[in-house]
Amino acid sequence: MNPNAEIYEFPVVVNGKKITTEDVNESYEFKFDDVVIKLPKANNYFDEICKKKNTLRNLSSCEIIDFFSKVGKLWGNPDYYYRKLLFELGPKVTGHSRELYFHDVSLIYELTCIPEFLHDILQCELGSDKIMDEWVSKYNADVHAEPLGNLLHIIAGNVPIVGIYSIVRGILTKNRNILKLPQRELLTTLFFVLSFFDADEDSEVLKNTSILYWEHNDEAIKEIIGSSNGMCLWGGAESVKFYKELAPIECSIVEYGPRISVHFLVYDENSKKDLALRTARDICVYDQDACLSPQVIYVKGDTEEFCRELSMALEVYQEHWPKEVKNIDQYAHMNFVKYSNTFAGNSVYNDPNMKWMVVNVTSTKNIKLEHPLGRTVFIVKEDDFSKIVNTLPSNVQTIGIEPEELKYELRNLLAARGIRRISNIGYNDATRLGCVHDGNYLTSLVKFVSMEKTVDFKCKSYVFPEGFFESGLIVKPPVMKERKIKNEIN
Amino acid sequence: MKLTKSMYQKSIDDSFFDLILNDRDSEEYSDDVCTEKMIIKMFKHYYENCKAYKEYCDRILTKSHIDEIISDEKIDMIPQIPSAIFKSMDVYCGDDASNYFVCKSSGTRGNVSKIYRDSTSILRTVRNIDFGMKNYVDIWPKDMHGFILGPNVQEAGDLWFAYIISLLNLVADVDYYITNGQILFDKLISDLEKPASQPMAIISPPAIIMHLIGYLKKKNMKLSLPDDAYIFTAGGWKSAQNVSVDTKIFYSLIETYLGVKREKCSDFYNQVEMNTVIMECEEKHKHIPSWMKVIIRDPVTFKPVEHGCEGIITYYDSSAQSYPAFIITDDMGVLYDECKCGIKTPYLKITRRVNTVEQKGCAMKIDMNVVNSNVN
Repeated sequence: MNPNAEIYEFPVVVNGKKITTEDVNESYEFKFDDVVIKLPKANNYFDEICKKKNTLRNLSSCEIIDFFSKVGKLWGNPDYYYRKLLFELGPKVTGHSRELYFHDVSLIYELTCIPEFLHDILQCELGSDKIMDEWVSKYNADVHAEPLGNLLHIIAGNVPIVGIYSIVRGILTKNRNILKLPQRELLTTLFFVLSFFDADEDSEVLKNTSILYWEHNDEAIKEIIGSSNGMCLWGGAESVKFYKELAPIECSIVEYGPRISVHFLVYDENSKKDLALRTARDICVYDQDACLSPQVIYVKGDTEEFCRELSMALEVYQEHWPKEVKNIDQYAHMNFVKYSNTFAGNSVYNDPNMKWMVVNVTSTKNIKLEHPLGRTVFIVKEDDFSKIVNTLPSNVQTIGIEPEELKYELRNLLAARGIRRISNIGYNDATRLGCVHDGNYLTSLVKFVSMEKTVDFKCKSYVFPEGFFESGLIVKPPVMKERKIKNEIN
Repeated sequence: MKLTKSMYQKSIDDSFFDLILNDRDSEEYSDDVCTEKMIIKMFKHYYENCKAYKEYCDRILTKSHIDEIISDEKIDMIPQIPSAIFKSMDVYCGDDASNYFVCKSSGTRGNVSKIYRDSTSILRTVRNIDFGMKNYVDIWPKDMHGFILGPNVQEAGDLWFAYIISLLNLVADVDYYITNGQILFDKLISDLEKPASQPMAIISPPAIIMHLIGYLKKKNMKLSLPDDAYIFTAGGWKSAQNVSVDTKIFYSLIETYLGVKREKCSDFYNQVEMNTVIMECEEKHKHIPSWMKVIIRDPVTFKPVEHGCEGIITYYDSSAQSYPAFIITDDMGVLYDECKCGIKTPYLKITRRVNTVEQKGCAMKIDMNVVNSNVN
């Protein structure tokens, strides 16, 4: 660690109030190579977090979306304090490049600054952008969506934007959001929530938001988990398992990961010129730490030529989004993979400093080494993609497919195999309207309530099949017999 | 593979050690020159006799590179094999492996390494321990009584570490204290307490020493072994991380419960792919023997780093005859020069294992079996 590392102290947020180290006298200290981050230990506030009532449900969706556009406007300003600070400190904490943080801030901006887009998310995923505010007529009922209540977000540190994606969706569905920061990526979501104070410090959105850090082995967190009505669990299998096991019975669990992604592509003279470049983009975004990056690419065509072209494209992306530099073991692991695959007879293409690696798998020898990630991709020649589908593990999240007609050809097979998303190569990190994330829509963050319309109301008249009433299955309800009721008191 | 004392006695004439011994007698003796000659000799041997290694070299090197390695003794250029290969493929010299003994690792991380050894290679390891104990610890195994906290040769099976310590019966008078998977603590304690006519040595993985200490604690006992008692540990903690303790605590517990001082304790470094057992000198430094060269490589560029810098431990072990023992390990370490003990060769400090299984965040790692099963 650099002895001159600068120390930064930030508040956490409890029910819309900033809590500083002075308030609690105890703090967590996170030491990175060039920076130390201090956050207050706010365990004494757990009770307050758990017991507060949800007042966000009293706000209309329009008011919430207006709030977000104020937040978006802040992040769109190049001089905005937290934006500048994130560009400065984010790379020091995670090792991700400034360029990657720029990419993520642009996603924050896109997600929050266009009110129509947020309305459309509600419309698309809940069936109506008014259903959180009103009762919407559906066949023989009026239906309304209620927030789950206390929504706990356990954020993974691999992708800076995930915390923001998670909390925006939690707020759109009017939940009270409690977010646990990941040790590996402490700043992005924290700064996003701190920017709420600059947008409108009296907003109900803020009052229903808490963001803090705690340790896994802290007994006190059981209180927070126990009071949760829903959980959004991002991350590795161990973390997901830990929180799921402690969740109350009626708590809705929304899991994001851990998953893997692959690509299927045809590489021939008809392939689009930028196919390799788009493939490289999907590999390089978040250095494959995100579940949406392909780890294996099945190619119909000349794999050696594709490997060479992909190598050039990965080199271009090294300039555009430089690879994270912190994880030295990953580089060692990549070297093990390189030499093992060379021994097994596979062709290996790599940057001399292991910024990326492409392995053309032609040998059937199975190397007992895990995938190292870090912009490593295995290319496997395949002429019949339908054959591959049944060998894919069920935890595949995204399959990027090109050309377009191949998507239509394979989608039924892929859906039956449990694949959650079929994407366009080069756009795996885009959150497009209508796309599901790990199979989830906003519906998993709400409870639907229905009020039946009067029995005389029939949304539709059905034509009964012949003999329907003679089937003996249609039983008439009992009828009251007429009789005098004796008044026994008198 | 049945190895006997007479086979071992004959193996002492093995010409493998001649180079070192002859060169030591010459005035121009230098450890480096000697080491390089032996490694080049074995490189040629592996290249000519191990098909898989030859193909690997031919993929990495041109003919002129190979000539350059041999003529200019450019050791750094000789291809090394990642230890993962021995978990994945059968790699040995010659066409017929039926005469080889297949030595296996414990498979702590789920996959078992298989190393094909001939009797020459195994007997060189035994001789390495035999002479090493004399050179580094100043005790001839033939003069000591060994208490092996492991099974005998028949029970040791093909597990490399258990097998090789079981073979100490070729060079010393030994008793074994694990049978049918049970540690015979009562018998061990009773034997250790008997008056000894020769120096005693307990040879064990560190975890079993900790179990012995735990057993003594439970019985409220403390042993006071004689001043000429030794404890030799090897094999690391592996899957017994739950009982692992810091080195300082470990040796202080040994002193408290067994009465053996730190200076009489020595730890050996070895792994199934390594044919040599690296021993500690009186300064507790693990010195590289003359027939072996360790190169610490930069994890990123894979180029050799300066002594004193941390990197991936790789080595060229010229004592193995039946398989190419030019290995890239999964361990990180540092090589140092100049030890106070007077041994000229560098010494190795193993710092940690490379983390190849870390999984954080939402990206799972694809099962590589799936990838390979789809190769046409």
